Amino acid sequence: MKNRQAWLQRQLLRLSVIFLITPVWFLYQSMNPVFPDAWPEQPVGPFTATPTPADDNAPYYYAGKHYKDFSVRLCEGCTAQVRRAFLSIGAEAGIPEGEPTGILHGSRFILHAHAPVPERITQQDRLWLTIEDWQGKQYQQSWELAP
Amino acid sequence: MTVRNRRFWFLLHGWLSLPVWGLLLLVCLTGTIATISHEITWLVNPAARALNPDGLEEKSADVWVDIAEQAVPEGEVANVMRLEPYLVAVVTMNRADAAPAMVYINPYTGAVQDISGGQTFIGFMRALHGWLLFPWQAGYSIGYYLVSALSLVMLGSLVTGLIVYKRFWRAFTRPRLRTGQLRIALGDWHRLAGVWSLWFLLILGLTGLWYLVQAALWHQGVEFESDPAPLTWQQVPFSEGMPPQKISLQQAIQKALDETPELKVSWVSPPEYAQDFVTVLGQRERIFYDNYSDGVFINPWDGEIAGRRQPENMGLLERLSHLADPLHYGTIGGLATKLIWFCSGLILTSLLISGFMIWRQRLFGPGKGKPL
Repeated sequence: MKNRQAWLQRQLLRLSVIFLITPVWFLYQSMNPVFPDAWPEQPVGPFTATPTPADDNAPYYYAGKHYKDFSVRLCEGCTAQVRRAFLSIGAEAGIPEGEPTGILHGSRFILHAHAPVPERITQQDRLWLTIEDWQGKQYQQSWELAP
Repeated sequence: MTVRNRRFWFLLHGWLSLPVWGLLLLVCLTGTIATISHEITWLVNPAARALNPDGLEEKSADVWVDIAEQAVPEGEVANVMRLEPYLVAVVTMNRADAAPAMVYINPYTGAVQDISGGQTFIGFMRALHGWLLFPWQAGYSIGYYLVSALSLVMLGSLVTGLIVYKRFWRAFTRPRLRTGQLRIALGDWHRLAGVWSLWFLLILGLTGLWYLVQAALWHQGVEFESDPAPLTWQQVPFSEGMPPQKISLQQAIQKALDETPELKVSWVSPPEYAQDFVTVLGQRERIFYDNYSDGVFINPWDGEIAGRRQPENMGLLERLSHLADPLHYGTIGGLATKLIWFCSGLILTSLLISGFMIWRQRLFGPGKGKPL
């Protein structure tokens, strides 16, 4: 009994020491980040936009909804011309009422969005970008979802 | 208590920490170093020192922003950070096609002492200790769960240790450390150091337990902040010609300081979208609260105060979230308590090592099988 227990403790101890490799692995990963390719640049009314997914993973679940993170690069100087912009995945575009899910935020150089995603993605679903300028005019563009 | 019972608690004491011993040791060591990471930075990196030989008055945060904008004219302020009175103010500037630049500003002389990018030692130690560098997904990191769950191991070891140790209070009244034989010395040290650092184990265990709760709250998206909700779209202006003017970051900081002159600013961030605020956070002579427990949120369109953060307005959970760090980090009394925390951290590390050695000797000592 005592021998078995000692053996088990020793194996667990070894395991916990081997586990310490994981931070080294994550450090290596963070120093050599791999970014997915940008999606094609497209016009959105008077602007142009280039979305890039944050990673190659499936959408994630957070507080009752599914999301996919993107960064969006607008044409130079265009961020200042935008009152609000939203990114979403679905059959059609739209600015959500209430909570600002999928709103583009960040700096004038690059924007980010947590785009809401339907629970089941279908053939009709696309990535939609809706931009509203300071006059209140809205423009839309969509991208085919990567296969 | 019967002998059998005591034996059970003794086995449990070992079983609690041995299977995660490597992890515990790493977290303990990195946490110990992290308590003085600001001071190590001061010693190692002269550019990070806020020396003030002429006894100049500290410039306010809006001036730091001016200086940073001149130093990196092509950039845009991402945030302003101030950690310690003896360290530089750091203004992080976003840039077009480069990593953000961190501008180290001496808050007294206004000199730019360095412009660097990337990871700082302070940030690295914090990430290594707090979540073992595991990546963050939406609202959670497995590493953060793992580390904060060690608080249960810590509290469990504390309780079982006290049960096993007969009349442990005698370690206070009649401390005993026999150094003649290694096995006895180890046992004496383990008991003595354990009992003398009871208070420390409790503080770290309980704050760690809070971090575990907080991790679950974040993960579930539970919001417990009393901060103001973003502006409504009705509050964001339209404009026919040019985009409407926002107030500058400098104006917003001045507004915040006009409202709360005693605020010691430790964080400023500009709005990230049209409904967002300029955030100015700091601390107002409340020693038990962290450096982000007080502050104002400014509407960038009309320049007015949109809301405040104050401990008085906080609910229980939010209060705990601002009380935990100073206790866990040992920053409540400045450098003196940091050093006490650092030494206690070393003692804690020695508890782990002596505990391990005692276990090894008991099971694999002379004539007891092969060593590890």
